[in-house]
Amino acid sequence: MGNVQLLLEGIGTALSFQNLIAAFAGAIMGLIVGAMPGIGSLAGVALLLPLTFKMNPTTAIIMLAALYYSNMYGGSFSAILLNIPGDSPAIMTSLDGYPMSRKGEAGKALFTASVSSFIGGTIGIIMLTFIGPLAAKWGLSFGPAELTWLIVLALTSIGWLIGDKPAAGLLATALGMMIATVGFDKALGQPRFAFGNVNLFSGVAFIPLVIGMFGFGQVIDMVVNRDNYASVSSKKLSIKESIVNKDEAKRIAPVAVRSGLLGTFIGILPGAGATMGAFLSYVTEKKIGKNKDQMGKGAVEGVAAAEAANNGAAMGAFAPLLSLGIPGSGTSAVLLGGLMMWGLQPGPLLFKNNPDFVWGLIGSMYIGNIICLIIAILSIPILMKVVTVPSSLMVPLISSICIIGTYSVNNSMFDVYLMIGAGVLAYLMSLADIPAAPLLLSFVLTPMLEMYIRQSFDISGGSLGVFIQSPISKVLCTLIILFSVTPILLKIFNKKPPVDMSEMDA
Amino acid sequence: MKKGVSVGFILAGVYWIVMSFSYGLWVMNGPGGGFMPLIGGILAVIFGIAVLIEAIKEGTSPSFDFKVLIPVGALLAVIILSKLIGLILSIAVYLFIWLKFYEKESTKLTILVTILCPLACYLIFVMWLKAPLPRGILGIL
Amino acid sequence: MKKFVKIIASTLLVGALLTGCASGGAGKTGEGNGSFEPKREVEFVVPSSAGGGSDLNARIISEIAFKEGFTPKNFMVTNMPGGSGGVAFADVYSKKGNNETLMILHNGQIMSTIVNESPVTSDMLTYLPVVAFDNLLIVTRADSEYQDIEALLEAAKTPDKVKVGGSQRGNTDHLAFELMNKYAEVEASYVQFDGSGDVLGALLGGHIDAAICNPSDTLGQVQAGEVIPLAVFSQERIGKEFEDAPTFAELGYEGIEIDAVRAIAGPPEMSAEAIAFYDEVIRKVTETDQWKNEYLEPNNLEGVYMTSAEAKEFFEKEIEKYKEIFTEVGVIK
Repeated sequence: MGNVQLLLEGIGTALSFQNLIAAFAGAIMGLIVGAMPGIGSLAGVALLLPLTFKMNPTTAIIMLAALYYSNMYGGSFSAILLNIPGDSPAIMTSLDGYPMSRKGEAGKALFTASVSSFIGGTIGIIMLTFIGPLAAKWGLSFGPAELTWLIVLALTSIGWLIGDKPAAGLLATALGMMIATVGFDKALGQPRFAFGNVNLFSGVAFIPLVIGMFGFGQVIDMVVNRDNYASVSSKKLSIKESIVNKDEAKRIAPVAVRSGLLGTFIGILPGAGATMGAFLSYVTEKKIGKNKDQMGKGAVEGVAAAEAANNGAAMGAFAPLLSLGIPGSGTSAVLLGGLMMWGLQPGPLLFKNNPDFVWGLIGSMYIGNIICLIIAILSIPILMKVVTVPSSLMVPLISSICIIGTYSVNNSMFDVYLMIGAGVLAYLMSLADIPAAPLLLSFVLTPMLEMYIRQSFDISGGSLGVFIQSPISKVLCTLIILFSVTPILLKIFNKKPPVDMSEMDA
Repeated sequence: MKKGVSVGFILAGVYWIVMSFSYGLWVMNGPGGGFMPLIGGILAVIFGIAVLIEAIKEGTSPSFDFKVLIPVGALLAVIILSKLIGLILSIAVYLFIWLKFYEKESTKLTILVTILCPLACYLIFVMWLKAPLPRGILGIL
Repeated sequence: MKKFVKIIASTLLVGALLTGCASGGAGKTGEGNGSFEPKREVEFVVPSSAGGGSDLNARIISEIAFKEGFTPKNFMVTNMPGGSGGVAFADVYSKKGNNETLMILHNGQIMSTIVNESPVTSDMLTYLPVVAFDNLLIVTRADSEYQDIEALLEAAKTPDKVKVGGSQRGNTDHLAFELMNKYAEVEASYVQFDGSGDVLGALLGGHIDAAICNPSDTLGQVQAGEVIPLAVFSQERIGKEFEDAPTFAELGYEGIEIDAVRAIAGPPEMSAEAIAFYDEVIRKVTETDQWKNEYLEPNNLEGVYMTSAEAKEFFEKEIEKYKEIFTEVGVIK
């Protein structure tokens, strides 16, 4: 098949010394940038862009792309070790990763995260190689109406994460929706709930909220509840100890593959990215997975689902970028700009006009992914030492990272105030047993929902018909009904009187 | 405290509902600015009440511990100080004071961290990522 | 604990070394430029996040200005996204009289700050040179039922039949759309997206009928024949792949003319000497080959240079025009 041959040639290009170094450098930088809360791959890529002008295009973009997907590997580090997700896809990772860390299984969590990231990423690259352009075209058929259903599906799924105390979780979801509505509305462009403060015009930024609620909230908890944080003993934690045993490996593998596939598909869709991918696959795992009860308390399946999906989605996002010239996210928009700088025109003709570039890039992704895996695993012993740092030291260190990380995103001290406020909010919520994750998830999803509903109505001129027009809409709608109605039906059916055994013997 | 918190959220929900009307519920054939806030507000009130009921049934719940003000106050102090001597230095000051006096760590460790941590931040954020951190009136760092 | 610290320290050293290599870039000292010269690094504020068009604009100006020695002190780019320009405007406004602060000014944000009733609008700042025009055009997909602009306009006479997508609200795309609606006397509907990538995605996916964007956003698709340009909003036809798209003026419609404008601005009450200095520096930058080859060309921009005085006049007129039409349409109340 033509593609395979092109791919092999591409791998050959990728193996050149220069390109290998580029991939390596990009991978390391991305891991560090991803691990640090605050700065994300967007800033990293944007800042490196000018430096790459002097390099040849293929090398340059190999490095930038490596930075982008290795960011997904790094994001899990701070999520697992410090309960501070480095970026929004990592929120799901922290749900199981941090409990594992607290149990002394940080090494296992990191290992699972890295391996799952690798599996998910590889699945993504394979799909990109063979059906990239096709998948991208299919992704286009998801318009505002279809995306609305996708988000509704996601929102209703938040309920599944909650478990025993549904009211509190749903309250958190509602709060997230409310906070998300601070700022301009898409319809009239008026600032809402801003109390006249310019900084709130575009709403509450995500980073201060997540760093505040998870990072600073953590700090507050550590100060107030010192005794819960007796530090994990520093046994000789080595790489060997972190490698999962056969049983765990068997549990991880199918989850990672499943999530990688789901994540890749979601990454291909315009407007849905790594966060949606990680979220939907985590929720899917919780619904149909074998170990669903343990999820949320420190199960490897949770980490595997989230990480495989977010790496798959990162790869999937390249499909529309390369084959259609449409960037799926902020970071890919920067990559797009870079491509144009070097005179490459992304779009349907890119594969035809510059095959060595495209296949060189794709080839290097395979290799880059392997490099990321190796570096990540080798870093585990170092990373695990982080867990042994006593909480007395952690408190000021994490506080410092919180301030600097938050400030550096938008050069805004206001964001830092927001961050502190978010931490206090998280504390208040913990007093009332209200979980934080649903708030953040609905915070991320609500603006998308608002925009897609608005666009759908703009397109349909006010009629509701647009929502059930396309086949995709109908399928998603059915899924939503199934998922929401099923638990209710189950409850009803379980109320049947138990079979009277005595009747049967007679 | 659970009761207090849930009441707080219910009130917030009510505020959101009230404001949503002034933002327009249905505008130009589609949802206006008040559409989502209204939904969010209503849900917050409904579930806030549910949590409140739970709280009343439960009786006791952990109360607000004023220790919270310590880390909050410390960070606010860092921010204010940074306007004078810049963020990196004020973090160094914070680390020193916190480790030495609050955590009562050894002097050696304190100094080590006070130097290394801000240095790391400087190298990573200012030099590598070129993210300008506040320099304060005195213009250093 | 000590070992941990040692490991971190060595990692940092490596990091510092790598950084040292990366941040190289010697700057020659500048020639005397008359009575004003920046005494310290100039803060170059960008009202959007890293990687966007404004950000690229600022970074390349900084790079050229410093490399060629036009300025003795580096321009340091600082991103301040938020409030559709509101946050950056407010920040620069607060630095009254400061001669070492610059800001990228994009006419889209000039408009959005007015529409959104931000506390600081561009007329409260100092206008500095205009450096480029980014043309706007309206396109559709290759298999659309509207193969030329007349067909689209004809259909648009039926209210809400034709859906045109643009990025953001109260911005240049939106303005172009409203101009078209008004002066071609049609009633198309505007569907708003969060960026040109999303608009084009919706267009290609068949969800909207046409899209308004910049040439660089769709060059690849036009080359591949997936997207066809219908008409341009500029004064003259855009070259290369877009040659076949007529201007609205050619078709007989007056007044449907707008470009995205890129300029620089500064805090209020900048000294006259400082303004003259920046006028010079920026003029020199726009005359270099690097500016043309690495910025204008690849981004399909039209190079323009207006001194700060000319820019002020230009914007004051433009703002009047924008205000008029947005008020008519009800975007501004």
